[in-house]
Amino acid sequence: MKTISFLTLVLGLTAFQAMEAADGKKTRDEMVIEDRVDLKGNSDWIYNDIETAKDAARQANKPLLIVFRCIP
Amino acid sequence: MDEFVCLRMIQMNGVDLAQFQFDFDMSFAVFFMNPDGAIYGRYGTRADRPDEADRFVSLEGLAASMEAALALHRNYPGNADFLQGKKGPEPEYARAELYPQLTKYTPKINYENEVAKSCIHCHQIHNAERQELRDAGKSIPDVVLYPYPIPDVVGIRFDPDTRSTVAEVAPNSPADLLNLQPGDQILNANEQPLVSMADFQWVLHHASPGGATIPIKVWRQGKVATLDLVLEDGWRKKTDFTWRVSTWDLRRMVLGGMVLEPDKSAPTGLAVKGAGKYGEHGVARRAGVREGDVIIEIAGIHEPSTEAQVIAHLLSTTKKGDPVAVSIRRNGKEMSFTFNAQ
Repeated sequence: MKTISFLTLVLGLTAFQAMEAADGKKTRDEMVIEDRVDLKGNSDWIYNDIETAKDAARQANKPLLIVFRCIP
Repeated sequence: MDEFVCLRMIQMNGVDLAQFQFDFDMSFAVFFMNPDGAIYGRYGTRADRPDEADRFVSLEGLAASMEAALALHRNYPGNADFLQGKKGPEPEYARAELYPQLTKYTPKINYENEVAKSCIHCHQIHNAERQELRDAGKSIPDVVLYPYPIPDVVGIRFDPDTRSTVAEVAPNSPADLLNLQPGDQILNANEQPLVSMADFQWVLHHASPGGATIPIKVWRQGKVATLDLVLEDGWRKKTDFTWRVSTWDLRRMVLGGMVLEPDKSAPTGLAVKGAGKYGEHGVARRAGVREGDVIIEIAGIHEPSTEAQVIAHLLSTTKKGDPVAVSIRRNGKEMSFTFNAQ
């Protein structure tokens, strides 16, 4: 389930937002900002901050999973 | 997922290019790594068209790669020596915004104004690398023009639901010649443990375009076999790069913004699928080329070719400002146009 929610987050959300953009409802900038708000409110993910992620990984003794995903 | 610290990166601004080297034409790429910088592996492969994505990525495949990365983490740092090859050489520029073509960007996205425009997209690094060579009047080396070859180039199709298990082997390919078989799991290549087919691409990416021998270890029917994958001179040129976003900029450089597509009726095997309208992407159109034109000859090429071959030929034979001659057939009439390479 965790993996599915991950892809839903990273792939599905972006695709949905792209469809909204095609309808002219939101600008790309608005989508990027909303994406940031969504991710920052998600305790499972660190948003766009490599050093914070490294510190968290060191403290938890966990590996990093880093997703490079183009902005919506 | 709970066993990882998860980070979402949306930009290349400010990213350490010594640490994060991957196929910059990807719109989705994953790194598994230790916080000290050791890289366990990469995930994410793409080629051809978006409707072929299922050939390369899947939830099951990602999960298998995550499991493999966790295993490497549990054995770290005892396995550190085997991971060293997963980091690339020092890049020419430490960060993307230091490329001369990208100096207008800052290390961070501007969330207050023009958010998307302030973002350095991954593919812009490929563009900047090539533009710098072009501006200097240098040819673009194969390793830059044909980056991260997909495993098809050596005759391997991986099962996308696995970490690195061979699904198909093309007849008479390099993989066939070493008797690689469907069901074989490639454990490591060039002494690097593989967590995904993207890791195999990483090894291919660093193999010499002039030919190489890559030692691989495979798990076959409960035993480990060691094989040598032999790559002949010019092996990289068998890959197609025209699916890449960064090809758009190569078309600007040497095709005057034309997009070429296969056409069996053409002597070159090519016709004009599209022609840009604006700026340097509209050069061919302003010279007279139109969509649907059948290409009889371009830059001296009159035999059946692919768009990638034409672009590669022009990149190696022209400099900025050189004329590019194209002869076409339109509604039964033959016409010739000339535009300048950019």
